[in-house]
Amino acid sequence: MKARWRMLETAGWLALYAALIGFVLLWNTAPPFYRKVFIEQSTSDWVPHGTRDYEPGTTLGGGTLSAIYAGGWWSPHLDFRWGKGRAHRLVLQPTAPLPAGSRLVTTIAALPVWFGPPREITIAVDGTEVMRRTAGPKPIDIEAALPRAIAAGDEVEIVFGIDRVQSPVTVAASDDAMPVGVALYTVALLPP
Amino acid sequence: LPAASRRRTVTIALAIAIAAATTLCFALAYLVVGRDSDGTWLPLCRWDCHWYRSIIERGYDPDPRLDPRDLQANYAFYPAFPLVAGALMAVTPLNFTQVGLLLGLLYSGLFSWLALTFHRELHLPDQRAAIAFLVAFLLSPLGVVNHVPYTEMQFNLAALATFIAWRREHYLAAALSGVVLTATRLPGVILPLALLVELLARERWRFGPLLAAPDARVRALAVMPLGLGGFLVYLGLHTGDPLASLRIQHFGWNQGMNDLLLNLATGLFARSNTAALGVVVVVGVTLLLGFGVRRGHIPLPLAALAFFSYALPALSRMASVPRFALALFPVYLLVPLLPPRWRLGLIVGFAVLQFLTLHLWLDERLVMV
Repeated sequence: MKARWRMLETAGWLALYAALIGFVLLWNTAPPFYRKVFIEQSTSDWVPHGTRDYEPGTTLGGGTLSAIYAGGWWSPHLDFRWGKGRAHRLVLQPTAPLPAGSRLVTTIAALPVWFGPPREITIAVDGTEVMRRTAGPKPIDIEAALPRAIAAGDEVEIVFGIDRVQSPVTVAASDDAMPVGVALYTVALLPP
Repeated sequence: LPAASRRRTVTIALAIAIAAATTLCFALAYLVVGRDSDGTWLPLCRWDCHWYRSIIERGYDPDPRLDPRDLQANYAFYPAFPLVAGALMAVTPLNFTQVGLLLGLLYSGLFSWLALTFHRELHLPDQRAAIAFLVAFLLSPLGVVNHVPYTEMQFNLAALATFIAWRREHYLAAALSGVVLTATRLPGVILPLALLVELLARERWRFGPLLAAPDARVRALAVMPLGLGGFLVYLGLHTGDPLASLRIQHFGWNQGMNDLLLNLATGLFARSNTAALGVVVVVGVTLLLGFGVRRGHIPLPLAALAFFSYALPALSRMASVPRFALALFPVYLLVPLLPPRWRLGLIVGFAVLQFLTLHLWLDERLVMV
């Protein structure tokens, strides 16, 4: 009889810990916006009521909180923000049309390189690569033609890519250990 | 008085004297370096202390809306310390900083009493050795965090109480101390795991009999992680995400997991004294722990607790001193091995370095988050 109770006790402990692990892994009643930021990582900034509306011609600062930062970005510094991983997304909806010949204008940088070739950065708009070049710690201005005309309200995806990520601490740029990609200072879409 | 009773009284008096003397050293250091250039007292509640105070003042945040720019929220911090401090604030007129300082003194006294009374469980031959261990630990350079309103001293006390109760076969006390330990900081779960591994090794890895007939040891080990488990369940119900604490650490403080070797190598080259100090602590303490365990001077479960308590944060980044100092007390069990003059010199050197550490911390040149 005593042996059976002890077995039951073991079963109870195992059930408790199985339930606890199941709860930790599966429980998810967080609000949708929390899930976007922390679990799906499809939005980078905590702006629950922010929109992705973008007025063509305005400059979006890397240090600004905005729903346009759609994923793959670290929290902003004052005047720029680091990308997280190799691809960093912006998703925006122009409030006015951007006709053919419109341009993407941006200021970006990357970590310095101690060994090997400089980092190569790509910029793609709606899946079409519009720019590929190397970058270092000094911010550079880039201008590229948009691949197509964009109607007002259409969703546009801009992806900044980098060939490899590195931590600022590894090149003595700062104490930050998180792996970073492109540093974005400003971005704007300009009509012709 | 009977001899046993007299011994107990002397032990309590010694514990009070050690805690009071080391706290007095800290207080003297603060009196000397605690003023700003314009003469105002620099606050002892800084960095994480504000987060713990916020938990008492407004409870746990539901999300990071309070500081959305940095994606930060106070549920990154565990509940045991603010619970104790909040309870003390409710029954005294003291504010959070005063309560935190008082708890540091109280915990130091209890820690000292445990080590003096049960020195054999710590592989210390006598009370004289225990005194050397305690004074070195409480005056250690990174021991500043044991005196200010941080969780470190509560963590150390809970770890020591869990270990000693386990060794003395007081399994209920071990279980309860373990619950406090795992509800104080995440690395607290390392001690029950280390004790479990030790138990299984002692039982020649016979899982079957242990599971078929769980005894008080198994029961105690099963109870210990419930402090952490309770917090995870609370977070799940409060924020909707049981892992909210880890996620906010990762996204808000960039405390995600990285490559340890890369962190170690690059910490040396970073333009940061704190990162370099982190490397020194990680490498130096690992060597000392290895020596202590090999020679039988440091109990293996405590060495495992100390090692993983700094190895895990070292995976994340190098610039975070208290995270490395969290459970370093087992290293100081080696101090009594030194010749008396060396021991004295080391302790005096430690006191001077703690003085310097406090100065750098108050001056914000030493990042202790």
